[in-house]
Amino acid sequence: MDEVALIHEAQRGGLEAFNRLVLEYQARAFNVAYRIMGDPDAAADVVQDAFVSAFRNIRAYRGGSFRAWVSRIVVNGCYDEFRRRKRRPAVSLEELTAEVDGADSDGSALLTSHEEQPEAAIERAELAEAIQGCLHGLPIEFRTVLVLVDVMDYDYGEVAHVTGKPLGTVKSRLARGRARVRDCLQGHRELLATVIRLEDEPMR
Amino acid sequence: MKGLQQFPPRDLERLSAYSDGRLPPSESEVIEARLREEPELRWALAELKATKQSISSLPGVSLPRNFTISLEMAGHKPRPPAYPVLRLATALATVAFTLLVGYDALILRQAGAPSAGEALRSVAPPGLDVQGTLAAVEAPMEEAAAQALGVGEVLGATSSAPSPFDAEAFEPTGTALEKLIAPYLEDGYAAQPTPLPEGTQAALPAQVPATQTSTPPATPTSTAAPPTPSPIPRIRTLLSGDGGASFLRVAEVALGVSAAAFAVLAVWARRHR
Repeated sequence: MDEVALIHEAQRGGLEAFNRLVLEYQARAFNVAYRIMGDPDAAADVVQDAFVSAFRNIRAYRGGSFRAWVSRIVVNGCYDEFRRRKRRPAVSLEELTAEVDGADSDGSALLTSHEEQPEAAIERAELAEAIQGCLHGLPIEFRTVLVLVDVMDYDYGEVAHVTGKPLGTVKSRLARGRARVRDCLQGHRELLATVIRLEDEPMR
Repeated sequence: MKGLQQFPPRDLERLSAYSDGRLPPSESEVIEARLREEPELRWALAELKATKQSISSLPGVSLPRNFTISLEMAGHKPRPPAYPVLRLATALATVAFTLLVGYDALILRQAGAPSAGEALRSVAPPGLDVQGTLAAVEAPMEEAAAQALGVGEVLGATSSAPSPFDAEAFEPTGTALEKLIAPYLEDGYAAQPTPLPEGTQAALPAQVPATQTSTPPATPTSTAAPPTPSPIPRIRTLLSGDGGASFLRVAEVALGVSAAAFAVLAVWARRHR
């Protein structure tokens, strides 16, 4: 059954059809939430709530990119979670950052090539931590645009739909976000050089 | 080199869009011309591309679990099977409504409607011999109606009735019929003349004589078969008059509203099941 048929079935209340859509989009949704939240547990909660909300409101879906529609619900869930944390900061930012830094090693497994050398894998993991830390230092609106365009490879129009902002705002946030991350990564130039070198080399 | 954030935001935005290939051709030409002449702009473009590449290098994260949702999470509650019940109720109410309206239209209206002769007389121009013509038409109808009611024997008693062409002896069909079958109806039903509104009797012209006095009530002969009670008069008695008509109207309205309400509820139940 193709995606359109699954969506129509889900709009008639078909939970099984909707769960097949969940299986299709859950990895993307979780990666978006994780890169925005920086916390695997919070990201998992946001994604779960987002899919429940998506099922309850799927009749409101009027066509277009289903990926963008789901992503919008996920991003809005991330915003809500951040607002909730701002109102009731149960954990200090330092502790949160420490949790984020350690998340990749225990909370969720990064998808790395099994053929990669251990040394390169360590360097890549360190750089990922550095980039994630720099992303986490951005305002959430900037971070969202960077995650969607540079990590998830969405086009500008989809990002405008997901964030509910005009195209010009998306372009502006993307440029300023990239500039901030670049300046943040100056402290990790040796890692950056390694990764760029590894990217240019064919996969062994 | 200075940081990228120190670049003019407009230049930074154009360079960022240019590195993504999302700058319009006209603006791309402008940027490319500037890139050829401004080394700082080239440096900024290279830094933006490197940053984009490094962010894109972030690995995907494996899922901690599946996010498929259960019935409980979706908020599904087992609902009683309302739709089949409502559908059946809609059908029953519709059928009952149709039958009642049909009965009302075919039986009661027919019985209570003025005869064709009365209607024609009321609209005929003065001088037209309507009564004679009508009498010629209605006399055979009376016979047929009397036979249909099983009182053919009674016709013998009425054979001395005035000639059909005797306009003075004309009676509306309904009145004559009621007189014919009066003994077979419930007490006093048919013999009761329909009261006319006050003043109408006086306004009636002399050319229309009082029908009750022109023809004596027919009585069954000794050879007539014993009267068989018919259900029709009883129903007519029950449903005639203001009370019966009101009851019918109320029942029709109630059934119609019920059918519509059940239909709406059935559609709603089907959409929300």
